[in-house]
Amino acid sequence: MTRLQRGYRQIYKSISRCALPSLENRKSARQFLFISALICFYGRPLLAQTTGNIDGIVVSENSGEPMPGANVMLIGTVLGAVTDLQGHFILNHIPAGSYQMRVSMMGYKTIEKNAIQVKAGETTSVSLKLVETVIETPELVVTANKTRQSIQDSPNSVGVMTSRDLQPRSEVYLDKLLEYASGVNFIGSQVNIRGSSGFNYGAGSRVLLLVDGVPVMPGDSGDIKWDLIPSTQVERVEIVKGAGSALYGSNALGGVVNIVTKEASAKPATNIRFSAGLYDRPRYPEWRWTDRLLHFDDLDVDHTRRLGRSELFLAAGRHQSTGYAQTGNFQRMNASAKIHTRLNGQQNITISSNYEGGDRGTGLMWRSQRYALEVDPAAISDYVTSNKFGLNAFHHWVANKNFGLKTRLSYFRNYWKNYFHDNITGSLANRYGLEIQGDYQFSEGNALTFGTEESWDHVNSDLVGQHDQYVLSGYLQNEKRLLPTLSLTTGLRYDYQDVDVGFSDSEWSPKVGLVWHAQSNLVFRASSGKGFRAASMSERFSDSIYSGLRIVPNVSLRSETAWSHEIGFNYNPLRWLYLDVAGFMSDYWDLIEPQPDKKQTIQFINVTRARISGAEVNLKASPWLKGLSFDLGYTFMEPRDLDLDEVLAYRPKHLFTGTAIYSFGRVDIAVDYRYASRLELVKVYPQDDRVAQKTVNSRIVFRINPWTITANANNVFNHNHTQMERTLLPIRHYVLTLSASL
Amino acid sequence: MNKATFHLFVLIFLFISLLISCGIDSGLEPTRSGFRGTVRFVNNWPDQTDQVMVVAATKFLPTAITEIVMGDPLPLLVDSIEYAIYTPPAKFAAVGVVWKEKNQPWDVTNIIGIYFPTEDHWTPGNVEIENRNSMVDSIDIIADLSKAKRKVASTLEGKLNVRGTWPIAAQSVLVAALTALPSPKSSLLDVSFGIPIAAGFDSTTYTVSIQPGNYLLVTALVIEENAPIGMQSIRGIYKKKPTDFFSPVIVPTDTSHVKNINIIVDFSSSPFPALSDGGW
Repeated sequence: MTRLQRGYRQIYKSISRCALPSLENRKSARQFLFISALICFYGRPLLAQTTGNIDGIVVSENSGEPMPGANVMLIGTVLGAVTDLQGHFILNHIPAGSYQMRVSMMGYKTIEKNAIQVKAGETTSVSLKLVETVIETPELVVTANKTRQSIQDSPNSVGVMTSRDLQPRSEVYLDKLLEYASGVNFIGSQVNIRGSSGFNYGAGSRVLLLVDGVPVMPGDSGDIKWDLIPSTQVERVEIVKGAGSALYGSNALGGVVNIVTKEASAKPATNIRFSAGLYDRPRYPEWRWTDRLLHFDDLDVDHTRRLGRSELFLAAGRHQSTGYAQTGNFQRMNASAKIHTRLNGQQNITISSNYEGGDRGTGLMWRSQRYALEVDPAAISDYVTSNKFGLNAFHHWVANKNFGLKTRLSYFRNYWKNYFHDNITGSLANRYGLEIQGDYQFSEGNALTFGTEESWDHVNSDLVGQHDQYVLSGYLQNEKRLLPTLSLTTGLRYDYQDVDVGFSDSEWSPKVGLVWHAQSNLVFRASSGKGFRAASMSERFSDSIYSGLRIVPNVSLRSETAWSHEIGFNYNPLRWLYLDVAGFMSDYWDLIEPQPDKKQTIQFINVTRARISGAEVNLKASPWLKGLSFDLGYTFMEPRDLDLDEVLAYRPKHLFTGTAIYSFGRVDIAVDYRYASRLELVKVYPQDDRVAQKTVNSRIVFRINPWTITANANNVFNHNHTQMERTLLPIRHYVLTLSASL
Repeated sequence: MNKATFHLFVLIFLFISLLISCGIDSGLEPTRSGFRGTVRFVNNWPDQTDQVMVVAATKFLPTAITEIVMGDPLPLLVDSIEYAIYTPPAKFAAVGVVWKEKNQPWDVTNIIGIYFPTEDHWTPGNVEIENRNSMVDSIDIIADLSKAKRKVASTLEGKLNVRGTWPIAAQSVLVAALTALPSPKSSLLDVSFGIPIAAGFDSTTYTVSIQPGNYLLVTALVIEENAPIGMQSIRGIYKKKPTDFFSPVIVPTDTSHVKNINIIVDFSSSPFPALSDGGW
């Protein structure tokens, strides 16, 4: 027995003797400590002088410029890194041996470098060159399987929007940007992936929102607060389509949206972005409600630098608008901080926080279609003051090349107060979360992801009262290469939910996925998984009057569940063509819907058995001319309410998004077109006119280092349409943005 | 073709493609059709008045918010006011004025005035908007503020027992309490309606929230698909003794729960055989 092994044994004995008085507890805790000690034991070689390091740089083959943000992975291990602003990366404490390294980055061809020799006590230097591809296809994603993987290795459809897609569009809030991802539609602020969501009066969401992997759904309303993170702080957004509860639990019924924020960097850098915009006059004189100039402006600043042995990222922003409609005004502020510290070669910790708050006018619906940009005269002064605060700590420990442990501690606070003409109500929701995730790489083609997740929601609200809700979960997922070209993913998660009124519920969520690399440029995928959503507190406990309608509680609401199935392929037949096709079908049980009764009282109840089937095609092409590229996405859906044998309300059948970009010299010219077919059925005001959504946005981007000037004209043809009933979407507006990286 | 010309060509191509794909339509337009008129208020404004508005219902009585179109809230404490409701073409079974109490939700059965085009105040006037440019005038309404129903705890409670076979078109049953017997001098506003109860039961209990007062008649109305509410809808009358033709009910205070107001819903005979040919 070595001295280190004796040390572990001594620690184990001391802890189990002192801290665990009961026999039973001691037994189980001993098992836990034994496993921990075992992990540490196997981690022991890292501490000895049997390891080496890899010090590398990634540059562009064309320009020789360093490539920041490239993903570096040692194949067959849990070791990896992202290059910093100088294209530099370090991998420490690698057991001596020969390794294969994979480097990928969006817009560049993935490369693999073989036979990298790591010698004990030495640092191996590597230099890698990335070659630009003709079309941009996303390479690595983290959300689909909770680990970094090639998008082509994901058995689910994953959409990715990077900062290069987001920034030129000059929108601050992500809901206005994500609707340009294929298969994504919005009803008000409720995101709908492949038809999963309808209109729920802002209560609950069938899509889970993560920020850097941490759920940020407020405990009271359970909906998504899109103003939480401004787009300027976003590195990329990953959209996993289909049920994802096998890894993420509640809310991942229709999909998962993960916002990956900008990383802190050692190289000092400051980004400034200022944009100002004007709303055009409405198309019709009846809709002109003011002679004032309607405008908005946004200012965002961020700075990153080294601080001791840490890297620091700070950001702040101010966003204000008069609105294009009455009571559409807002004034919001936000601030974020992130500090990343490498404790040693094996451990690093990231602490991040963000705050967003301010006032917002809140006319819920138009006065009438005759006066579509005005609200009920009594509600002109209605407004909401709200703020959100999140604090996260993330610890990553790479025990050895095969095992890593991630711990996430999170706190999210959501506060709002409505100052309405007929009532003043407020709510404070606190959510505390803990997740411990282990990644074990048995061999190159066999990886295990497992973990546990706990959350506690405490809500004190005028609408729902004071309540607590606890969720305890455990999950396990295995990715195994069955054949050199065929991989199987299996996973299972258990969630137990306890609500303070004595209600409890539990769900098992399995998943299975297959990926077959039929050819180097043709990959087939198939997946099947279960999703569920526990009722939000506002659906369960709401006892209030909303727009003159009484909402009454339903304490015993069950979770709604779904099974999603998908089959698809991606094909890259030519350098300038990338095609992704998917067919999908989702079955839903016990969908929670607001149900008005004969006395205009609304109660959320489990009502609907539904099925949504459809197909999705994504095409990226850069034909004919250097600098000209197209990105097209089309989704067809057949959403059926099987109980009532009718179409599901609030789901369009056809969604199309298209972007054409032409780049020459320092200039990009781009046009976006978005189409969502007319909603066949709505529930609240079916007698209202309904039309398809047709939006054309255009922009020109001009770069003079370090400045970028962007001019946008959005809703160029001033097409008037609604998503949520009686709320006209933004009319034509112009934005001028000046940004710089200093 | 030089480079600049080629760039221009590409831009024009993109622009034309988009124009074609858009169909160049403008989407929603302001509603220019609807109806208008004057609301004349009678009696005193209740202190608890929060809002008053004109509503139009595609079905009378409306049973869901989807069956009504609401106008703007009307100014309070006025004697009369002109109004206009803009709505797409539709046929409305009734147009009325609805009263909302402070801190209470909307109740579309809390009607204080109905558009009656004739002297018959038991038959609401239909309003038909034929096309998108049609503005129907003179939909004038007298709103009687004394008919506003405050939120009260008082109730009528009892049982509905069915005799005979339900008509195929039967949808629901409404309990209605009348402060005046149907006559040329009385009005639909003298009726307090309960919540619709789905048809098909043999026996059920009911509770009607009701203002204190003297009710001469308590009836059960059977609502049939595509049929107006009228005298023919009455399929049961509260009778204290079987030999009574009808029995009055007194609700003394706004906390009274008047119980055992049991009604037999009889499909084998009409309680008003002589009046069963429609209308109130």
